[in-house]
Amino acid sequence: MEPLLSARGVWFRYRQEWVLKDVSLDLMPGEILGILGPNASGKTTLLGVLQGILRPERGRVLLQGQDIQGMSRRRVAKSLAVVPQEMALVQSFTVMEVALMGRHPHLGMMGFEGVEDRAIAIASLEKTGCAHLAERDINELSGGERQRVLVARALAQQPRVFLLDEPTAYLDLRHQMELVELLRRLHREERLTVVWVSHDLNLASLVCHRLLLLKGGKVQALGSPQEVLTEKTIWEVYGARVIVDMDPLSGAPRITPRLADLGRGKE
Amino acid sequence: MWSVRPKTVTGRGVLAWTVAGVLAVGLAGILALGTGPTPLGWRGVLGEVLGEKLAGGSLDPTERAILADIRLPRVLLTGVVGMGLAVSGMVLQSLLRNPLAEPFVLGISSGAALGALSSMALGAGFLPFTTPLAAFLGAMGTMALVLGIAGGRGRLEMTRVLLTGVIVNAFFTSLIMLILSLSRAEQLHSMMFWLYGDLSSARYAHIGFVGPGALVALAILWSQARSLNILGLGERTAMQLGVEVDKTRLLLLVVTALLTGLVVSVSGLIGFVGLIVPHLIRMLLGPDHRLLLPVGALAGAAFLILADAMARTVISPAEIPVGVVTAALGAPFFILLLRTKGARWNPF
Repeated sequence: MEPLLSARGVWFRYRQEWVLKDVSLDLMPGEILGILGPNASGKTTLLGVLQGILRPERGRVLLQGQDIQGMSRRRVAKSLAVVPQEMALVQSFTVMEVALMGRHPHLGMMGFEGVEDRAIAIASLEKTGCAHLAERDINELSGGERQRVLVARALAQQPRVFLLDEPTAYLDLRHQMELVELLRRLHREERLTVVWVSHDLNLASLVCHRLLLLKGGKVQALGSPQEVLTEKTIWEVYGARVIVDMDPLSGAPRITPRLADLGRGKE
Repeated sequence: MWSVRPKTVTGRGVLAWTVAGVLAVGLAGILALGTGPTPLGWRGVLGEVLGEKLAGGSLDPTERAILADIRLPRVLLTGVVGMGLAVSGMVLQSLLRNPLAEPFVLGISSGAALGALSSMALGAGFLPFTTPLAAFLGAMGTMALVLGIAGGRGRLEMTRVLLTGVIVNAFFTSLIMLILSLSRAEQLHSMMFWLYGDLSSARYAHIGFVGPGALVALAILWSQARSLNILGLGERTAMQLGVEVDKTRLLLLVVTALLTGLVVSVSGLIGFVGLIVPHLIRMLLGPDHRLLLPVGALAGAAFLILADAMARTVISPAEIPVGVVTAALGAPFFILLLRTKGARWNPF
């Protein structure tokens, strides 16, 4: 099988210091690949390089076998959609209008969305449980609703690859769970291939097939959650003492922080 | 609250609004053609268009000459200028994501003014095309200067563009002050009129100079309307949705500068149209530029045609600068709108 998206020996820097050092990865069709790493490890930069917004100084990023730097933004947006952390306040577009913006790369330079585009946007809103919000002002929604609309917009692009940039970062526990369940369901039903950037080790452990762990711009570990999420690796990468055991429901590794002053319970 | 914002914008909706806008401009035009030191009356004006029987009025040869040689070119030119200013303001507000933006914010106006006033100071103002040409060259030079200073290393940072524009504006304004202070009294009057907006010397030739370019500019801007919508969601999101952000911004900036330079070169600095009309239309119709740009263009035309008609009649037979009317009318109207509608209104 051909990888859908791959990085081949990518080096990147903003100024002097290298932010990414020889990063390589292959995203296989249908998988969920988690990208983990401490602050300033290069996660955000890697995400920028993977979507062709940042140009690597050495190495290449291939989207469906083609160099992404040689592709137009329109061409990229047809194959690859991004769900960001959150949406800033904007002009008062309705939810439907925001979903329709996902059709932009499929439309010609001028003009309006056709019947088919509208049907796709509505279907995307239905799949994410936002159809009833279609006429609401995007700025009046709750954070959880807005994230679902962003997922719908990404779906309306009809991409092969979903890049999720910490989509649950600003959500409370229940809304985090709902969004994760939604994304997992979409992954199954729409056969999406997903890159999931996260700060949450436990979440990544639960949902990702493979994990890539970055440290100081280098790939520190790449493999299944069981291989990557060990007490030793987490100590080496994050400098944090944790206990790794097994999640009773899924069998995935479960990480519990070990606070220095909590050796024997709370006292 | 009053708003006729459509739920989503369709081609048919835009067409309907555009037709309504054209009718409004037509009405404003007939009204404006009839008013002035020699009142012609709307019946008389309509008689010239539709035939005497249908309209129930007609004009004598003198009146006909006034209509065809003086009023008509003026009203047509005013319409084009109003369109250009409203659309430039609207695009710049969205592009710079700043509700205070208007066509003159990037210094293009002061560049044009410097060109126009220099030509007047050098005594070339009486030649038919020197002043507009000098103004246009000044505007284009300023655009090149601002984009050149702001657009280092291939990237176009909007805050940099805005700041550069403001600084260049300040610099040129000081030069304008210098010219004014050195000019003789008889030149000062026409210079002041130019600075506040002057449509009194409108000729058909001016329309030939400005009209085609302005229409092409409007068409190009409209073709980018969907990208402009998406740019409002932020630079990164726009890239992710398939917009070539840098290219689109550069195109929009250059075309608005051209449009502003063109209309300013034949009208002087008419303020407020490019600020108030876009906000008004946004309040009324929502944020989709595919609808906003054509309707805004027509609203700008209608507004300026009416304002100019008023400027010609308040102290008739003398005229006041049309910029005085646009601000004097526009400011209170805008405040009223903000008071009734403003609490829930979030332009950006």
